[in-house]
Amino acid sequence: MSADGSTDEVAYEAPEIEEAGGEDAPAVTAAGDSPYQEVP
Amino acid sequence: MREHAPSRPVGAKLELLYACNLRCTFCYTDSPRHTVAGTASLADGDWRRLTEELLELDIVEAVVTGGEPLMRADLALELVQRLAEEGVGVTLNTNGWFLDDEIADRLAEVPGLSVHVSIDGPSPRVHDAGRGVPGSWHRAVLAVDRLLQRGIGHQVVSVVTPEVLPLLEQHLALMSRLGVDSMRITPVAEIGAAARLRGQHVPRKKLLDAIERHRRSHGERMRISAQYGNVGLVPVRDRVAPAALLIRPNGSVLTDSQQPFSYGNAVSDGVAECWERIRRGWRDPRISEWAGSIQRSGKVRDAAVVPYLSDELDLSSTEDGGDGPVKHLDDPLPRRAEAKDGPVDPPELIRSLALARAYRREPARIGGGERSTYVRRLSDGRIVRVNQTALEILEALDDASCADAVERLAERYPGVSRERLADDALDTAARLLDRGFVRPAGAPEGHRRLAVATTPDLPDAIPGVDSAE
Repeated sequence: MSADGSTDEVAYEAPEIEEAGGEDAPAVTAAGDSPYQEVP
Repeated sequence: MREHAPSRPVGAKLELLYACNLRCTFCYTDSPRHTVAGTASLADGDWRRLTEELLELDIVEAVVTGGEPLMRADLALELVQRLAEEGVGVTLNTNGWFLDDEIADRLAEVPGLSVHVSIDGPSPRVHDAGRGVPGSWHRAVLAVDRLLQRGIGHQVVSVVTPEVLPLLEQHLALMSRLGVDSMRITPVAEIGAAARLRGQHVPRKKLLDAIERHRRSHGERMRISAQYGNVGLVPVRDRVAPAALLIRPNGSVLTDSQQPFSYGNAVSDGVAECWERIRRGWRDPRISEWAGSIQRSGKVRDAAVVPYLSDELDLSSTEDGGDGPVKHLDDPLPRRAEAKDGPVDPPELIRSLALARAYRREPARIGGGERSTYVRRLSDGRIVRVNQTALEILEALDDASCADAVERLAERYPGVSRERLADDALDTAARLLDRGFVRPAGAPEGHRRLAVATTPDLPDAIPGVDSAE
């Protein structure tokens, strides 16, 4: 229950796993979707 | 086509014994007959010496088989370990009956091992009927589960009879749910005991269609190879140079299981000498004549000498063979017990085994959040992006089973059915396992999954050749 009295149920999503990188390619950044900020 | 046999054999298949505890009507080695006859096999010391000879010849692959090799479990495990410790890629063929926890623990110590277990269909009724012994389906499924618990390389081999064919798709789905990595689908080869049967033909298209439908509905996580037309290849075998050899339980050396010609005895002549004879003699006119007769009739079982149904024809012998090798068409066979499904519900058993299997997380760093959580495996830097549900399953699978993950998900998502949560947890665990982000809790430290399982005796390496319908 949340503060405003509504139920706090989380919507269920089917599990997803996808490749985001490889052994020799830091593809997280290469794909342009890095969760990190690039340091100039 | 390979035109020259290499100077040394690349692989070897070792048939440790004739006997088997099952009674398969289609047994290509005709083991049930030998079991009744009590045909003698080489002694342990002979097999140890032959294994050392093969290692000296620098083989790179070996198949340890039978009969049922785990009826000589200590010997089989010793040879498998010896070959593997020298870097040979070893496959152990078994019906799984004797593969208990103790044997599974020993197999888990063998580097690079692949264990091939025969399971023909999705229920005891169809599998046990073909195998002739009630309980064989159940024991084989438990054996595969033990391999999966320990991360041992494996393949499920299914012999597809006309009775199995309508159930093939269901069988593939069940094996996929169990967590099987790899399957080989093979119709009945008309050699050995199967040469006594009629009406075992399975249309190739129907078999391939069933596999394709499975792939469309379940994806390609489980590798499936259809080995179609082994026996159809016999006519071309006299034109393809051998690269491996096969040692029968009595020491006879053959090139493979598709030809009934012996090049001597490994014990009395030595493996190296037998291989030299193979190199010199694989184009023997008697082989061409035999292959030609099969090509003309289209039936291996009608040939004068049928692999495994007849005694081998020794090409190295100078003695007159008289009427030729004995064809054991009417020899006594063991009685088969009637098969029925019994109290086990196959899909329920498979599901409960898969849910109970425990996993351990590989060391990883987890960052980001919400819909974009990134998991970086420390061992090699591989990164996957997961959503919240997949992350919860990954976090749950730490020395825990999918059943534990389902409990955790059920608390967070009370409105979602347990059946759906279980399906999702099982699928996700399989994908995390494939990608190396979890490993079976029973797998040794530093466990690596086998990339490919191969069998030197199989003619898969011959491109563009297949059986005629």
